[in-house]
Amino acid sequence: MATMQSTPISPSAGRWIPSTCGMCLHGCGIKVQVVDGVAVKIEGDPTNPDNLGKLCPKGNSGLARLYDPTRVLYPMKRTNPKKGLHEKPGWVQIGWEEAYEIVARELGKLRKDDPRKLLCAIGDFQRILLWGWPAVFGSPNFFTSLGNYCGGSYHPVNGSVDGSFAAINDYEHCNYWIQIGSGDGFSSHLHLSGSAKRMADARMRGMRVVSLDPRCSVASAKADEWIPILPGTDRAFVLGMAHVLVHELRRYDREFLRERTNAPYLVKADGYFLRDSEGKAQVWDLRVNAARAWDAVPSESMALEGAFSHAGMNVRTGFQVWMDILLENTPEKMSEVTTVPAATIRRIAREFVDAAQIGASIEIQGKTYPYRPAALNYYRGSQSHANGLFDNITYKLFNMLVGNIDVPGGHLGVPLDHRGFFVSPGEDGMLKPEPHQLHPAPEFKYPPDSTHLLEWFPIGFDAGQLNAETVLNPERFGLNYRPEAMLLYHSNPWWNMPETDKIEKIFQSMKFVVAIDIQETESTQWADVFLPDRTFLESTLLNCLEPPAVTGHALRQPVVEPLGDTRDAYEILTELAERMGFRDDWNDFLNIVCGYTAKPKYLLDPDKRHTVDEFWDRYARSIYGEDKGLEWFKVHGHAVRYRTPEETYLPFGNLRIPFYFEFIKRTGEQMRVRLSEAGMKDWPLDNYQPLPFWKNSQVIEDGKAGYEYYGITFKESLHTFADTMVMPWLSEVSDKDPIHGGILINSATAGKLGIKTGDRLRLTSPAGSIEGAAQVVEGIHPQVLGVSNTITRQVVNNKRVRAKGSHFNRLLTGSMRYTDSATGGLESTARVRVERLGA
Amino acid sequence: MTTRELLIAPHRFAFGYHRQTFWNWLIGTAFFLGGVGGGLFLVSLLTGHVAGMLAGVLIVVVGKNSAHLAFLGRPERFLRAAARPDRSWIARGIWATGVFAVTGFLSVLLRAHSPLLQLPEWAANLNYALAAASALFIACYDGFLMRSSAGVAFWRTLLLPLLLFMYAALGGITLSLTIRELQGEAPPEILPALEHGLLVANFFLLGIYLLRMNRSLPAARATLRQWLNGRYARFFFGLVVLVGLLATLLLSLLHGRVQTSWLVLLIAACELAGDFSMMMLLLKSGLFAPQAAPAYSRGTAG
Amino acid sequence: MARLGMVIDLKRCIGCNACTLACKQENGTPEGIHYARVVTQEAGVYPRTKRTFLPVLCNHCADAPCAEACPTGATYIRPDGIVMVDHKKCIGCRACNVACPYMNRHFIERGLLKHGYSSDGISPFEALKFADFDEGTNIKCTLCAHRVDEGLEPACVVTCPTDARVFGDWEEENGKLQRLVKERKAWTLLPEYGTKPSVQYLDE
Ligand SMILES: Nc1nc2c(c(=O)[nH]1)N[C@H]1C(S)=C(S)[C@@H](COP(=O)(O)OP(=O)(O)OC[C@H]3O[C@@H](n4cnc5c(=O)[nH]c(N)nc54)[C@H](O)[C@@H]3O)O[C@H]1N2
Ligand SMILES: Nc1nc2c(c(=O)[nH]1)N[C@H]1C(S)=C(S)[C@@H](COP(=O)(O)OP(=O)(O)OC[C@H]3O[C@@H](n4cnc5c(=O)[nH]c(N)nc54)[C@H](O)[C@@H]3O)O[C@H]1N2
Ligand code: SF4
Ligand code: SF4
Ligand code: SF4
Ligand code: SF4
Ligand code: SF4
Ligand SMILES: [Mo]
Repeated sequence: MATMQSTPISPSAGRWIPSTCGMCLHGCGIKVQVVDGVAVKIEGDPTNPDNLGKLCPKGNSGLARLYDPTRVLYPMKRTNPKKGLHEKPGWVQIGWEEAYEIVARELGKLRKDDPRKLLCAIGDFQRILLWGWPAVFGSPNFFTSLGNYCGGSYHPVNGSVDGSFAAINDYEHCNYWIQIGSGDGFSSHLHLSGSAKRMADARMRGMRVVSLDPRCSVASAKADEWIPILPGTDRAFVLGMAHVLVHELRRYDREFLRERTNAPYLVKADGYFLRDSEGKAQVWDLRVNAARAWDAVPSESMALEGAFSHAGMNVRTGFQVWMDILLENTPEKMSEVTTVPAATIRRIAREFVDAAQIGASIEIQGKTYPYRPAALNYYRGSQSHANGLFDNITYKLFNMLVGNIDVPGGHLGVPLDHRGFFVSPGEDGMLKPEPHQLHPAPEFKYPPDSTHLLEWFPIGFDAGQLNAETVLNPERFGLNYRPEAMLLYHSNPWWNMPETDKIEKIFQSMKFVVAIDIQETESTQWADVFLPDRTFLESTLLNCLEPPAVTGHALRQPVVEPLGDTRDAYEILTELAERMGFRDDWNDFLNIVCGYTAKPKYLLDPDKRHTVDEFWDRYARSIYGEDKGLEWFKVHGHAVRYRTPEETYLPFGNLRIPFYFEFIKRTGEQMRVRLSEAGMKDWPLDNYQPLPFWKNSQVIEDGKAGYEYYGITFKESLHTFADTMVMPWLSEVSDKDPIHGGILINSATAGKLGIKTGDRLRLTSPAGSIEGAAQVVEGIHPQVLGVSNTITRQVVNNKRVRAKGSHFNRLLTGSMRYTDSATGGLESTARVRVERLGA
Repeated sequence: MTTRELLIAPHRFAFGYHRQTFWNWLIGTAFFLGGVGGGLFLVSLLTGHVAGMLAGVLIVVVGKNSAHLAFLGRPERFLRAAARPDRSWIARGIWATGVFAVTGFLSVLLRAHSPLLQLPEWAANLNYALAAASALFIACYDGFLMRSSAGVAFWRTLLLPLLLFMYAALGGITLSLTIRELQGEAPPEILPALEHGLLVANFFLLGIYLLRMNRSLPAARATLRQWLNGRYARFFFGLVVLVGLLATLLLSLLHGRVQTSWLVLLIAACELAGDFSMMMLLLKSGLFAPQAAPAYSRGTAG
Repeated sequence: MARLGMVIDLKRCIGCNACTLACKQENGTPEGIHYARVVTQEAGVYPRTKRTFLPVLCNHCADAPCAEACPTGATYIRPDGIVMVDHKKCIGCRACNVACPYMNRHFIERGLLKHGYSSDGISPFEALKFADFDEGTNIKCTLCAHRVDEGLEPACVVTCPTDARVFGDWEEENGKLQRLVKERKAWTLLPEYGTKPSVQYLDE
C-alpha cells in the first residue's frame, strides 16, 4: 500500500546507530537513524533493559537539540567588557588555538597565584569522571547547587544506610507505594522512561499509590490518593505514622530490627552506645537480663525495647530511644504541623503496615527472602529542606519499621554505578557508613580551603549554596582568599543556585569566566571565552548512572559529523591541563577514579595525551575485558543487564545497618571540638543527632514574620530543569499545560486575594522577590504557590520561545540558617508574601 | 453550566469547546455573496430586471468566486474540487457556479436583447431555466455544505439551508429594490410586500432554528448559549435581529410613506449587514465538542 | 482486509507527551502542528482534585466525515482503514477541518514551511522532513502508514513509556485490541457523532 500523504523517510533507510540519550542526566539507551549524514529519528533501544525501548518526551527531542540553530558551534570571545545578565557579551568567533591560549594564560596565571581562586561549576553527570578536574587544577571549589538542591541530605543517608547512592521502591514486588515529594515513575528522578513503564506495570497489577505533595503532581494525579501537605513538613507526617505503628498498633518488624540493624544496641544517657572495656557495643541479653557485647548474644535474645539499669546507669535500646521520641509525635500534633487530618495519618499508617505483610517471605530464583511489599519512596521535594538529614533518616527508619530495606517489595538502594553498593564492615558488626560517594570524605580544616566549606561537612554533600555567603564575605568564614575566576562546564549556576541576587554579585565580581557549554545561558552571559562542547549525538563516552533494576554501561557515540567546530569536553579539559602544565597529574587522577591503580595494565600514560576514543576504549576494556573495547560497544551498543537478586536484595549481607545513627552524633562532637579549637564559635551543629525528631525549621519560623505562604518549585517530564525550556519543540508543548502557565495558586486563596489567572503577582521572601502571571488552579495546597521550572529562564535565544523570568531561586536563601548543619543540604522551600500587582 | 463558565479551549491541547477557525471571513464572504448574488439574479430574472441580473451574475462570478479562490490553500488546483459531485457539496457548487457563469451571463444578454446573442426561444428558455436553477442552487448549497460538515454541531440541521435560502431571497429582493431605486425605476408592487413577508418569516425561522438547536448536541447548545447570552449575544441581538430584521422591517414599512433614496440605501445596508453578520456568526460561533473520558464528564461537566 | 487502530489505556497514561514528541520527530511536522497531543485538564475541587490526561490522535474513523467531506478525493481511506491525505490532490478547502469533530486535521498555512522551529532558517533535519509537505494543503496523522507498511508499529506507540498505547487490527479475531476491550471498559470519543473511531480508550 503506497503512502500517499507524503513520503516520510522510511524507517529502513540509512543506518540505525546505537547510543545513549543525553537529554537529561540519565542516559537511556537509544538508536539513531541517520540518512545521508543527517540524523532523522531517535528511538529507544529495545535491547537495553534500562529503558526497554521507551523514550520520554525529552529523549524524543534530541534532534531538536542537535540541530538547534542557537547552539554555539565555534569558540568565541567576548568583546563587551561590561557584564551583566542582560548585557550582550558581544561574542566574536575565534579559533581554538586562540581560545585555548587565552584560557590557559588567564587560568594559568591564577593557578600560579592561588589555584583556589577558581570557582568551578560542573554538572555533567554522564562524564562524572571529569568532575575532578578542578581538584587537579588545585581548586576545591564547587560553585553550583547541583546535587545539593536534591540529594544534599539524601545521598549521605543512603550511603550510610546501605552503601547506595539513591533508592527506589521495588517496582516488581511492591503493592503499596507511598510517594513523598518525588516524581519517580511518573515525571522525574531516576530514568523516567524505564521507570514510567515499571510504575505503570506495577499499578496495573494492583499496586496502590499514595502521593504526598503540596501540589497535584503527575504522581498525585495518577495516585489512588493524593494527600496535599504543607511543604517541609513531610517528616512530621511520617513521624506521626511511625507513632501509630509503634505506640498505637504496636506493629513493626521486630525480627528485622533486632537482626539487621543496631536498634537493640544500648544507648547511655549521653547518647552514645554503652560499650564494654574492649569498646564493643552492648545489647541487653534477655536470657540473663544483663548487658553483653552485641556479638555474644543471638539476635532473638536481644531486647529490642526497654530501659535498663546497668552499673548504676540508665540505658535504653536505640529503638526505645526513638520510641520515646515518637511519644510526642501523635497524629493530632503532626496534623497541626502538616495540615493533613490525623485520621488520614492513622489510616495510611495502618494501610501501610497491613500491606507490608511483616513476617512473610518469598522465593526468588531458588533463594528465600523476606517479602515486604509496602514501601515509602521520596526524593527532592520531601527532603531538600534545612533539616534534610532528619527527613531522610525518618523515611529510612519508617521503612525499617516494617523491615523493608533492600528486600523484595520494599525500599531498595540504587548504587551509584556498575561497582554496586559500597559494602564493607565497619564497627560493631555494622556496615561502614559511606556518606560520600562522589569524592573521598573531606578532612576538617581551618581556615577552610573551599568556598563551599566542604571541610566542615564530614558527612555532608557539597553545599554549593553557601557560596552566596562565603564568596561575598570570605573573612567571616576564615577564608583567606577571594575567588577571581570561574569555570562553567555543563552547569548553569546562575539558574541552579539559591539566592540569585547574591549569585549575580559573585558573577559580577569575577575577573575571568570560561564556559564549556553547548548554548548560551544566564551564566554564560558573564563568560569571557566560550568553548563549545559537542552534544550527545556527536560525542563518545561510556554511560552508567544509577538506573533502577539494571546495571552496566551503554555507549554514547557520535551519530553524525559534529556540527561547526566543537570539541569534546574531555578533550578540552585535557588540552587545558596540558597547556597549564598539569596533564600528568590529570592523567594520574583519572587513573585513580577509573580504578586503574588496581589494574595497572590500563594506566594512562602521564606523559601522553590520550584521545577521547582511547580514553573510553581503555575504560571499557578495564571493566568488561580485553575483547570489549569501544569497537565492541559500537556494534553492540551496551552491556546493560538486570541486576541479579543477589546484587539487589540484602546487599549488606550479615552486616547490620544503622537504626541509631551514633556515628553522626560522634561526628558532630568532633566537629564541635575542632571548630571551637579553631575559634569558630557560632557554627551550628544541632543536626548531628543520632535520631530524627520534629522541630520547626527556619522556614516555619519565617511564617511569624508575615510570610504567610510557601513557595515551591518542581520538575516535569517535558523538561530537564529549565535547560530544555529554550527548546521550541518542548516549550511549545509545556506552554500549553496550565501547570506551566504561571505561578500556581489555589482557587480558594486566589478568590480570597482577588486574584485571577493572568494577573501579575509579586512573591516576596526574606531573600528576594519575583514577579509572574498568576495561574489559578485547584490542584495545589491553599497555602502554597508553585513555580514551575519552565517559567524561570531569562536568556533565551530561540526566536520562538518566550523568556518568562520568574526565577524561583531568587526566593531562596543560601545561608547556614537555611542549611542542614550536618549535611549541608539546602532549603528549597521559601516563605513568601503575595501581592497582586494588577491585571 | 452557565454561559460564563462555558469552557472555551485556547488550543488543541486543552480540554473544552474549541472555536471553529478553519473557515474564516473569506468563506463567510463567499457564502454571503453566493446568497445575495444568487437571490438577486433570481428575483431579477423573475421580475425582468436586467441590471439586477447582471449585478447578480457579477456578485457570484466575480465576488463569490474570488473570495473562494483567495481562501483556498491551493487555488491553482481548484478544478480538482469538481471531481466528486456525487458526494461533495463543494463539487456540486463548483458545477453549479460553472453552469451559472455561462447561463447567467447568457440570460443577461438575452434579456437585454443584445445583438450579440440570438437564440431560438426553446434554447433561450432552457438557458433561463438552467440559470434560474443554478442560481437557486448557489443561493442555498452553502447551507447544505455547512450542514454536512459533521464537526460543527450547530450547523447540522436541514433548517440551515432553508434559512440561508430565505436570507438569499431577502437579500436578493433588497438589492433588487436598491438597484431599481438607484436607476429611478419603480419596483413591482410585489417586491416590497415580499420583503416584509420574508423579514417576518426569517424572524420566525431563526427562532425555530434556535429552538431546534436547543435540543441538539451539547456543542450546538453551547453555541446557542453564546448567541443568546454569551460572547455573541451583542452581535446576534444587535446586528442580526435588531438591525437586520427589526430595523429593516420598520424602515421598509416607513418607506411605504416616506419615499427617499437614502432610506432605501439604509434599508439595504441594514438588511445586508444583518445577513452578513448572521453568516459570520454561524461560522465563527461554531464549536467543536470537548473530548473527554466519560468518567471526567460525569465528574465535573454539565 | 484489516482495520488498523489503537487502544489507549488511560490508567497507564501519565500525560508525558512522549507520544506528541515522538510523532513530531517521526513526521517532522511544522511548528504548531501536532498529530498526537495530550489534552490535559484539571478536574474536581481541592482537595479532591485530579489532573486528567487524554492522549488523542486521528481516530481513523470507519465512517470518516473528513473523507466524506473532501471534494477532491484527496482524503481517502486505505483498505486497511488508515485515513490519509494525498497532498498532491488537496486544494486546501478545509472542508475536512470542519468535518472532523475531533480537530485532527491540520492545515499548512502559507509561509509555515519557510521557517524552521526556532529560526528563520531550516535545519538539515527539517529540510529532509519538510521536503514532501505542501503549503496550503491539509495533513494529518497517518497512523504511521509508512512504518506500518514496513511491519513496524507507529512511532507514538513504540515510544510510549507506560505502554499505554496498543496498536493492532480490530478485525483480528481475539487479537490484542479485541481482547483489551473485552477485558476492560472501553469507549470512543464523541460516539454521538457516529464516526466509528478505530481508536478506543480504556477507563482510568
Ligand atoms: N523529567 C526530569 N527528570 C529528572 C530531572 C529533570 O529535570 N526532569 N532532574 C533529575 C534530577 S538532578 C533530580 S534531583 C531528580 C528530581 O526528581 P524529583 O524529586 O522527582 O523532582 P522535583 O520535581 O524537584 O520534586 C518532586 C516533587 O516535590 C514536590 N515538592 C516540593 N516541595 C515539597 C515538599 O516540601 N514536600 C513534598 N512532599 N513535596 C514537595 C514538587 O511539587 C514535586 O512534585 O530528577 C532527575 N530526573
Ligand atoms: N529553581 C530550581 N532550581 C534548581 C532545581 C529546580 O528544580 N528548580 N533543581 C536543582 C537540581 S536537583 C539540580 S541537579 C540542579 C541542576 O542544575 P545544572 O547543573 O545547572 O543543570 P544541568 O542541566 O546539568 O546544566 C545545565 C547546563 O548544561 C548545559 N548542557 C546541556 N547539554 C550539554 C552538553 O552536552 N555539554 C555541555 N558542556 N553542556 C551541556 C546546558 O546548556 C546548561 O547550560 O539545579 C538545581 N536548581
Ligand atoms: S529519561 Fe533522560 S535519558 Fe531517558 S530518554 Fe528521557 S531524557 Fe533521555
Ligand atoms: S506517551 Fe504514553 S504515557 Fe505519555 S502521554 Fe502519550 S500515551 Fe500517555
Ligand atoms: S478523526 Fe477526524 S481526521 Fe481522523 S478519520 Fe476521523 S474525522 Fe477524519
Ligand atoms: S483541504 Fe484538502 S483534504 Fe481537506 S477537504 Fe479540502 S481537498 Fe480534501
Ligand atoms: S500514529 Fe504516527 S502519525 Fe499518528 S499520531 Fe502516532 S506517531 Fe503520529
Ligand atoms: Mo538534582
